[in-house]
Amino acid sequence: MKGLKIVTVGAVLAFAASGAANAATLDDVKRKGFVQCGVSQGLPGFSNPDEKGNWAGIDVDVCRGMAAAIFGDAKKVKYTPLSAKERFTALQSGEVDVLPRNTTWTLVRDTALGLDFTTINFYDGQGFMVRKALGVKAATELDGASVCVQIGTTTELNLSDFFRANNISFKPVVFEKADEVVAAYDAGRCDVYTTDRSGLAAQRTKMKNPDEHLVLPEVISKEPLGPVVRHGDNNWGDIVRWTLYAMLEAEELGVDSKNVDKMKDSKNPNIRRLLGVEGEMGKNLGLPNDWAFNIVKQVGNYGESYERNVGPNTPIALARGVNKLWKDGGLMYPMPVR
Amino acid sequence: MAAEADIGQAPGKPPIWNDPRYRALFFQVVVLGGIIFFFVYITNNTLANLERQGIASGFGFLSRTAGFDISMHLIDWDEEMTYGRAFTVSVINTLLVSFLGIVFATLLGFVMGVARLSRNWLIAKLSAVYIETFRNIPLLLQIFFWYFGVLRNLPESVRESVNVFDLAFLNRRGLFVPSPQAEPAFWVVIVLFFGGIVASIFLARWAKQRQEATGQYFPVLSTSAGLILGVPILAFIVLGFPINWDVPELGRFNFSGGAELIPEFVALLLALSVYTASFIAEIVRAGILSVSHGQTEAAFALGLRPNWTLRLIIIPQALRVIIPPLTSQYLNLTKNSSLAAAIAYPDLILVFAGTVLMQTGQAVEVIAMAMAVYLTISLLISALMNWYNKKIALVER
Amino acid sequence: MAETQTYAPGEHPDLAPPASTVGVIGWFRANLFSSPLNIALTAFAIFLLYLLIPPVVNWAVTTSVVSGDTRERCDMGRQLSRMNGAMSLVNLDQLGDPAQAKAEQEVQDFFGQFVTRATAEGADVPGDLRDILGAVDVKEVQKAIGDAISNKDGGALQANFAALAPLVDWGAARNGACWTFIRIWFKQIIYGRYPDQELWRINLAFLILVVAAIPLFIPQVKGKIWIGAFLLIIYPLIATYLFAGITRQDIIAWPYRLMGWAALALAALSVLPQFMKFRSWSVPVAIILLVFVPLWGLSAPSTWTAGLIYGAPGWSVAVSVLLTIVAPLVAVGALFVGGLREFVFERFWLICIGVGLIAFIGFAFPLLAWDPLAGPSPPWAMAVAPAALALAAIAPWGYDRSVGPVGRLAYLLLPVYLIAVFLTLVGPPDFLNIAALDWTANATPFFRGVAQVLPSVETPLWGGLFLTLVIAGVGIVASLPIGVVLALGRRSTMPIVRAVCIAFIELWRGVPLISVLFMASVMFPLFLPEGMNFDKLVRALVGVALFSSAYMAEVVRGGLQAIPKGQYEAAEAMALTFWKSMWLVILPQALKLVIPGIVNTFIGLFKDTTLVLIIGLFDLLGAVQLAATNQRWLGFAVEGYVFAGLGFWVFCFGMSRYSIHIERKLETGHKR
Repeated sequence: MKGLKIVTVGAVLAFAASGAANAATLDDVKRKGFVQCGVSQGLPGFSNPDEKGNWAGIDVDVCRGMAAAIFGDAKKVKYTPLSAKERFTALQSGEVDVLPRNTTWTLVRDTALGLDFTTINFYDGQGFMVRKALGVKAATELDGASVCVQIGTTTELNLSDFFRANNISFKPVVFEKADEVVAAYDAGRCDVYTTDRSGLAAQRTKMKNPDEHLVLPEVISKEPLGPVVRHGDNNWGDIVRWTLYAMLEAEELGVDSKNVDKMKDSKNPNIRRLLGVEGEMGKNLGLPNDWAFNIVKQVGNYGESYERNVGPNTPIALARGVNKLWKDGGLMYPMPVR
Repeated sequence: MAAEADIGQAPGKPPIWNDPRYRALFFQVVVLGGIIFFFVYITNNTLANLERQGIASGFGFLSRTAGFDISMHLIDWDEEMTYGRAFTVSVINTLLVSFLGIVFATLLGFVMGVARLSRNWLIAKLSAVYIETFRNIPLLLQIFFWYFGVLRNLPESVRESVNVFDLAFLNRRGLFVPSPQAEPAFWVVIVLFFGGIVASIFLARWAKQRQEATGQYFPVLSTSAGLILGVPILAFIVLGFPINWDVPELGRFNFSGGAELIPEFVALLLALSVYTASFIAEIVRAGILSVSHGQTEAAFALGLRPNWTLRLIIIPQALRVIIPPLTSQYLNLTKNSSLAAAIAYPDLILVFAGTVLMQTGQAVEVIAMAMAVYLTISLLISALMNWYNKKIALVER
Repeated sequence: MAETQTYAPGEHPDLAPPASTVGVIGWFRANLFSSPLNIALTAFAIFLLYLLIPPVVNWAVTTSVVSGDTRERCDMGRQLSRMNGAMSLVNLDQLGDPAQAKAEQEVQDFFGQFVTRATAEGADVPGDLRDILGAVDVKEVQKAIGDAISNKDGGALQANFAALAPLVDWGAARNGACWTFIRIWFKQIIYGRYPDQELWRINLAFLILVVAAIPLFIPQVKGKIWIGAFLLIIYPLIATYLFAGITRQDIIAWPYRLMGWAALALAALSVLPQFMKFRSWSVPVAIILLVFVPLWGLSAPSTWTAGLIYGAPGWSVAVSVLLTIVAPLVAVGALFVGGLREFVFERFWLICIGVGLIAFIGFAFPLLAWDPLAGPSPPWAMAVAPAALALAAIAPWGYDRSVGPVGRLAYLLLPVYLIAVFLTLVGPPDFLNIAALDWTANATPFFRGVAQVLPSVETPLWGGLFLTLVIAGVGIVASLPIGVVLALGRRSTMPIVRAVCIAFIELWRGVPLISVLFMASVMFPLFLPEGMNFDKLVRALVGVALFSSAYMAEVVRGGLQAIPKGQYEAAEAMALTFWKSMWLVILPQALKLVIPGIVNTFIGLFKDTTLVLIIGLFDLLGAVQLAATNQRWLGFAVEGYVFAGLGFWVFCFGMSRYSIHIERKLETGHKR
């Protein structure tokens, strides 16, 4: 039958056609005119919208930095709030271009999910919060406790590992949204609330009575958090990675958003290279040469971003700790811009 | 054939595209082609996407170690077991809440349906208010109401639990009840119970045959009740109550021992039963009303006593109207149990389409499996219902 | 001595019925106290009412708090009441007993919280409370109570507590529902996070809906079909643009969409009559056109404009222009050249297939070389769309030499269409610079001047009752037509069609909506080619529409089955074609029969929209849940649920009453 033939041919052609070439996210982003940024549904200090819907946080600053680097305008970002469940699908399917959503770098995620982790913008670790009234001083005393935890996170697995390793039992109560987990803990559904320690600090500030709660001293896991991109687009990954390195490098070189204009006249060749006065660093990334200048000018260096979002003067009040620069004894070690 | 030729010039064969048969064939081929194209297209896209992004595929993940805990499990579970086992655990949890929901919803629904027809004005109106309230409010809202609104307002501290004779305790962590631990001798009771059921079936057959042959009546119902319930209870007493009750005791954080019904389970069960019962009540009412009063009068005219009229005339006819929509309500309840995901009851959707999906990242396989489970349950119940419908359908002459 | 009065048979005057069977007493006797069982039931019911109604009224009305802008207003009353509750547990003679230590602690804690709130700088203290606070120095009392408890001085505690009597009374009158919570969050619950200055758009759309829908409910109004058509076809478009905003691209895109749809409609219209007459060899051509033109035509308007907006590769535009110009020019030119005209008519189907092949190559070739990063518009659609439209436009000439009115219309439209395509695609300023076609930056001057009319509001900002109505509305509008087609398919005699429809219906009916939504949110993106993706709300809407259409199909099937076979046979005897007999005879009757069923499905759908909150869309319930889990407003979940429940109940109950009303109205129509 003619119809059958046509349909078959069409099917075969379509079949043959869908083998796709590698994606150039940068071109796509330039064409759209903005960076589509996958963020959390609201985690203070990391990515949180205010009442007017303006996003702020240390994760959000990654996207803003990228927009500054690509377009010279940190405002050219659109945000997609994602649950823990949706985040990877959204990135894989191209719904978002980059996912700086306090996501822990793990081997499985880096390999089996078709994702690439670029670098780390926050070193974290999982902790426990309990009510002071319980009189618990260490996590190993938590035998038989019920624990509120968010579903589908590394937190959920670490929790099981920790209790199993210490041969004590617990009862998990898992919720989809971070807000619901906190509400459940606050309402007394669980004895323990567990998440990354930065998250504990952030959520504790929002409890009815912050002084009633205690963060236990144990850190039961390593949680390196960093922005994620799709596997296979190395140039795009480079841009994400170097956006962060530029922010760190700027801090290391003492360049911040206030002095960056003056620093252009600096004699220090490192600064001159970073700010695009010398060399063609931007071109190698496929970006304008003043990419890092724009990042620092509009978003600030890493230290500024940290202080503004999670630092001691914010309600979250996290000390810099391991997130200090390497030369101050921390783990933040930007690769040289040269 | 010969006669046909006599009628006159037979019209010429219509061209092939005017022949309804060929047109139907053509149309179907187009539809089939379109569907094949559609499936090839999405399969191909999916495979290309998975391959390009290096996402793992296949069902190998089912035999990998899960590494997370599940707050409620009827069969053995610990973190070292596999994702496949987690699947089984969660399916059992879904079936458990569905089954109990069906039982409670049916009981409540029948009571409410009968109450709706009560001659007592107040009772009828109360029942109507119940039905109209609960069937017009979304189930998810009701689940939230019970879970966040009601159960969250129970005593917070374990020591202040609502205490029922030191046997059952209710607090925000859930309902703690004694759990029966069978001693070996208890199996005798169970065997007797099932023996009673089998014996009752044979008894009913025998009684029916005898009645048809001789017209003599044998009280099947009361004898069966005695066989199924009476004998095991007697044995239970004679054997000296061969059951131990594991009573919950207060531990450091919570109760240990006994059976723990987590509040998520209680809230879900409550909401499912109350919501579905409001629909069942309407079905029951419609069923009873569908039996015309003439049937009752005819039965009385034949000299049947009222309870016999009810049993032999009214209920069989009402059931014929009630059963099909009732089954579809059962199906709805089973599907609605998936709303557990919203309040952390570890059912198929929360554990499997939630945690497992996110830990493995294999959305296609996981969602497909979850849908297949519900589909299987639905199709099974539909098939059963069709068979039953055929069996009880009116045989018209 | 009573005198016996006698009457002749039949002459006895009517006596009043016994007093116990009429009037209020009679009613009570008959309906509440007719038998011992009934009396018991009545008592039970009254007991239930006593248990339920006073506390609920007390909570919701008498002791509720409505005023104020902060949660403190509600908290102060509750804290005072809880303090009072704890105090009642304290045995004054046994202060310091560990058994009541907790109660003692709570008395201090709750009072302490109250004092902190009430005496804080700039605290939101209502006037009447301020008066009471003026008379009692609460800080002193707080200290005194603390001392009394630590000194185990029952007398002092009692005395100090007595001083708080006016406060306790004040609190007891304000420890019920906190409607302040609803008031503060009201905007979020109704509109979500939609920007304040744009709310008028939602209100306007709703107003249009109400004004347009009212005539439907007035029996005297004529021309309801046009109102219905407006509501089902034009209104959704208006609403979409009002809600999502209109950009310059939309304004540019609209003429193309209209043109695409016009050509599509022309093709369908011009082909259909011939399809039914079965007269000439043009029928296979017509069938091909009927199958492929809509395919292309449908993909064309949207993808084509998207391609324009994001800029498509130069070659695709070139192919598109070529096909657009060459194919119709040949066809049109042929009409005017005497000999060629006959030549074309005689070989019309060959030419059509030729053009089709060219278009097909234009379809297949770009597909093979498809650059997946050209944005959401596959360039082949751009290349093929104009060809498909041209094909559609010349279709009427193929089998009707006299060129009917439809053909003439196409004939008239074609030049306009060609000129418009030329101007916009190539445009005077960039006449040959096709590669520079980037519409965000390089719009032709005419369009560059068009400013943005309505700022766009992204769907994550949609929420509340507004979102609930959007989802339910889309589900309702989409599910009815799909449901009718599926129901007809399920009753078809063609086995493959029937099997497909049954499979579709049973698949969707067999799985819970939540799994469909999960599928839409995490699986659907994987089904699409790389680079193509839809908004999360759109995906959810597709899921909801497919799901509810399966249920609608079963309802409609019930109606179809209820139509007596005679109606089908009569329609066939009138020589009506399948679609005509359905459209004119069967469906009007069947749909009328199942209106209650349809409304019930709508009610179910309306309630089911709440499930979208599980995939992170904030409908009415989602907005309430968001407010209730907000850390600054924890503890008012019940108020939120009661409010949302009331909202849903009003809609659902209203619809169910309406369905019963319709049922009754239609019933009279069937009585003989």
